[in-house]
Amino acid sequence: MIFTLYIYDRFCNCLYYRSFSRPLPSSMSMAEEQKLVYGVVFSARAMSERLSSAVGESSDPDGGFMAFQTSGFKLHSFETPTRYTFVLLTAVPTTGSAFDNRSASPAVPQTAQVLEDLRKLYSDCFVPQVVRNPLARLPTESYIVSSDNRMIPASMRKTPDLCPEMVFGTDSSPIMLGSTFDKMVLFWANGLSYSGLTPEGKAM
Amino acid sequence: MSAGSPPSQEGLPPNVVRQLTASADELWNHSTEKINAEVVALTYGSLVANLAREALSSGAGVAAINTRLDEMGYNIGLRLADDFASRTHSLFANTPTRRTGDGANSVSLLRRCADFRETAEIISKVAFKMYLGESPAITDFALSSPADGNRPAFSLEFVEPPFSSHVMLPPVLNGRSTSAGETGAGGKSREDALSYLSMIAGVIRGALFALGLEVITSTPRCTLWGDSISEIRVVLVRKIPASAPPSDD
Repeated sequence: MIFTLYIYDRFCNCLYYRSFSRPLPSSMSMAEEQKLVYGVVFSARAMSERLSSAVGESSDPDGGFMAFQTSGFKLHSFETPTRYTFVLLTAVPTTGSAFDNRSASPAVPQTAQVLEDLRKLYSDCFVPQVVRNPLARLPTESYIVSSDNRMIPASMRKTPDLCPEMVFGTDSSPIMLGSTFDKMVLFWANGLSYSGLTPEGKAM
Repeated sequence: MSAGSPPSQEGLPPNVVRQLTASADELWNHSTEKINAEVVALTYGSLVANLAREALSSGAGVAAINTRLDEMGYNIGLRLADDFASRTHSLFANTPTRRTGDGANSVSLLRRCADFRETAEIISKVAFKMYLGESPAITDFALSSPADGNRPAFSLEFVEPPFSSHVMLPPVLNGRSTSAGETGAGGKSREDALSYLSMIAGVIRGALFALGLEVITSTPRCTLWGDSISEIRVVLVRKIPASAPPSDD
């Protein structure tokens, strides 16, 4: 069973949130929860980066943080080279028979499989729908990063404007992922054998 | 392979390069939508011609055209980085260091380059191959290049630069109008020469920025200026660290 999906950009903004089946309502506000999840992933990544170089087995310069598990859920984190982060919260994978599981859906598979599914979400939905969408204004286009690592709105960038009519999407609002993307995410989630969703996208 | 130089100067091992080249060929042959090269050359040519006309009539100067082309390329590069990352993950599937654990079901994950030399190889052997169908040579690679402020740098050299067939620059755009007759090496004034590959240089800059590398790109040589080759110089400024979440206050 999958619980929630978060997509973050490299500037810590939550671009997309989707709840599939949440057994209990959250005890905090949505914005707080999104920030908390990013904070945890960020810290875990920093920790894994330092520790894996300490034990000398780091094959990944970023430390390769992939997932952690509590008694209630498992958090999977997939970061693209362009620093988008996809976080999926699922039920705890069961090691014994499938009947141990609280839900009727098949057990959540190994981490590698879930990360591969998240990669497909990135390659098959996010890139075609968002990155290749000329009307979507990407986070990297809304900001430039100054040399002291502060973010500056791109409107302060000075460029000679020779062909103003060729500029797409001039609105200054940050990227909002449209309903088409939402439908694609639901379709993706339905395709997961362990999603625990009915074909209509409702929780079982 | 010359003995004695540090390994990172040598680039990737030959077997990895062969594998990358084969995979890039595969991507180019089977999963890249093709368009007639002449059509692209003509389209790009009319874009540049339009920019040039507007810039010169408004008195903005040749440098403004280069800046504008670079800016367009930069915006393309920002998005192209994701397209590249999402399509090339299979390249890394068979390299042992790129596997993630979790038992036998190892999968490939998208991964950053280990060093700038690898970045150069990937740009030349994979990126140019899969988008333009050719691989420029990497020359003059240095981890600390004195001419570029002791920073890592490399050059991409094109014998037949993309988009440049059928193109001739008029004297007012090729930097020779000011110093007529003095066209020997170093005698040309490149400040007021239209750099036809500015857009590609911008694409490289934008794509590397999206991947967390801030670079400076320049086009020191161009066949349209009478040089024997076109060159794009890429200089690494710094790696952009991941930004920390804002603290609660």
